[in-house]
Amino acid sequence: MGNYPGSLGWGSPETGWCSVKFPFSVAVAIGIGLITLAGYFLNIPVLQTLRMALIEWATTLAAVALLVGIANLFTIHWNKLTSGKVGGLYSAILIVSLVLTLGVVGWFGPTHTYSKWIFNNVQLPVEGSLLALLAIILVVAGVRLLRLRSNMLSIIFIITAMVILLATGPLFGISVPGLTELRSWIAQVPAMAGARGLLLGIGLGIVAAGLRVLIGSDRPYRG
Amino acid sequence: MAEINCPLCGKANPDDFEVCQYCQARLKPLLAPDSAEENSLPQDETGVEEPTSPAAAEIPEWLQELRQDEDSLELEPERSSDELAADISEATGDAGSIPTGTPDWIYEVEQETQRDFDHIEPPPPSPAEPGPEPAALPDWLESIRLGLHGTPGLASSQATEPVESTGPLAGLRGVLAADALISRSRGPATRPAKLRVSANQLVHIDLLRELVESEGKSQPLPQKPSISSEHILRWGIALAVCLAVVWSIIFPGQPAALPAFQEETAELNRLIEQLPDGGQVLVAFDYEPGEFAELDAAASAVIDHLMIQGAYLTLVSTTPLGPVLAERFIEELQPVHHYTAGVQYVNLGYIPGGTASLVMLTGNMPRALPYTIEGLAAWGSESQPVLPPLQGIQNVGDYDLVMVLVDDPDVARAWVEQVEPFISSSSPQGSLGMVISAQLEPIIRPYYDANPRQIHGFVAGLRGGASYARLNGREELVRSYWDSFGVGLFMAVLLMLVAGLMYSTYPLLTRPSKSDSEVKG
Repeated sequence: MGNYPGSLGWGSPETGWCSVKFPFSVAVAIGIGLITLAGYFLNIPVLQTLRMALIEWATTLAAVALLVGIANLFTIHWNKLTSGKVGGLYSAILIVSLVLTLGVVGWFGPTHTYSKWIFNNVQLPVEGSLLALLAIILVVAGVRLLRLRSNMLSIIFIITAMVILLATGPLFGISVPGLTELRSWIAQVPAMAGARGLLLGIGLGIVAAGLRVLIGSDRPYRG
Repeated sequence: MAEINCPLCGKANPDDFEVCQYCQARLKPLLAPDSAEENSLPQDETGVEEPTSPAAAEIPEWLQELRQDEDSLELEPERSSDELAADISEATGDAGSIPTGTPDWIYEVEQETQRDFDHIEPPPPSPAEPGPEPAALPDWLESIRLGLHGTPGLASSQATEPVESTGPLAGLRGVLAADALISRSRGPATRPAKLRVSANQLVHIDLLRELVESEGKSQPLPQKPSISSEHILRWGIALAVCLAVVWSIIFPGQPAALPAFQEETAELNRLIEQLPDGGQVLVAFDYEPGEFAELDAAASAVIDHLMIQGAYLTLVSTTPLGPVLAERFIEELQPVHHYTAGVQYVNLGYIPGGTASLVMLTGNMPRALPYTIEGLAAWGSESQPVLPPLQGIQNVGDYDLVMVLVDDPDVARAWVEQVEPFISSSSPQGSLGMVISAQLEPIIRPYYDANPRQIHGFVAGLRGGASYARLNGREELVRSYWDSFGVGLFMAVLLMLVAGLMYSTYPLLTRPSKSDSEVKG
């Protein structure tokens, strides 16, 4: 084991031949990562069992993290409310809503009429309205685009957006020849080319991030 | 009577006083003794004498040569104390007449002060106190002194310096001579306090001062007009779009035709058609409540088709609000099929962990999701058999079809990458279909176009859902959305087109013509 607390290694920092700090958490992360990765490629029953057990732990920890997040949210807004800061009214509304929903759903169950009433008449309209505003904002942005930046790229962008929108909707039953085909070409050639590049970039980024964690170069669990 | 100013306190004293009568500071420099006394001093002060001590005999030849050179110089005759005193009185202006440059009133005050001091006689020297013994330096020290002052210039200047007559340093020449000039009180040199600053520097100073002074002051925010042109533009656009949509709902016109189906939509329809009687389907509700309008409209025809086929549904979600969305969807949007929880469908609720939770589905589902959303043991217990939708199911590969309703590209990608390989390898009949938001189509389509396919069919947005409904002859499911959707889109395009034309042509119209510019030029 290590020569000083919280470390693994050989030799001593004084001698310097192996003075790299090697915390215990790094060893755990690399070991678990390698076991889980090997479980994907090697059909060994022990590895498969170990991999599934580790993933079960991960899902359990994620559920606990969700509860911790709720408790943290409650604490922050409770402190904000009791300290009399600006916006305390919103914190009070949040706390009352949280406690009320928690009580109703916890007591009656998530499929009870009361629980569904809260969801259908509070949660859905609020979130749906927020997203509906996005449509208006996008239209405003499209209207102002040529005023703010009147160049060739902006014109191409606006024309493309208009073609996609017109071809997506019914257009009062009017059939414009070639419009649907143009929309399909835009969606399947230029848009998909960009999406493939995006997916390739995401894949390479994930591989790089995974390797960095596996070799201990990146330690997101360090806190 | 002449007077001398004290070098320490600056007050006038009679010139025959040795020390100041006010502060006891020495008034006169240590003058050389009389010639008789001088003769009693060692010869080395004035002349050269052969060393008699053993130390003197050891002086090297070069040092002796230096001493001889010093002796050969013509020393300036020493000035007597009387001559020095005359210099002092001359320096202090005591010449018996009004010194030049001194105002009359100062001279009168000095004369009165002098008269007051005239009757004070200096204390006679006590005969009992013998004078100080002349100091006798050892020969070796004397030889060093001679060596140090061996240069002609120094020797000549040393000869002019007075000899200490009293105290332990009596007999030494040039020891801390209190020059009469020191007694003149002189104030510190006055320097101009005003800095020379240029006009440019003054401007910078003022600017810096203003900056420093304004640092602590709160600047009032500029008042924005309560209603600006931007506000009017936004409200106008929002009003136009909303009015168009509401108008189409209140006054429906001729219903527009639903769009023709695409290949991916037809493929998903084929997969559902091929489900066996009583086939088991896993449906994942992985979208947020904000997207419910689009996803509900897009998925209505697909779920309706599944129910028509009599499929057993297992509902899961990787988002916390997904189970409630699923429950609402089955009960409120598909009431005609009378699906009952625990009989035709089972809601297994939320599975935390994101991507890890999807891997759990490929492993041991009874272990990952043991209970329904109502809290029942989904996979059976001693008193309860396994629920019908879950009979024979151990992992996601046992389902005939996996259908994912998703609005997040990362979640969709996780389903494709983590679950689809397991489905394909587990059973040849297993398939993965998706109902996605329209914005995900470019992201999902590469998985559909791949060979072999990683997604076996999908429906994208309201347009895809409408085409799917048309394919199954269930147009009433999407009719209420489709017409108003089209009117809203048309209004948005119209606004962008008008604004684009206006902003493109307005600069051309307002640009001065060539003839005008030539006239002005």
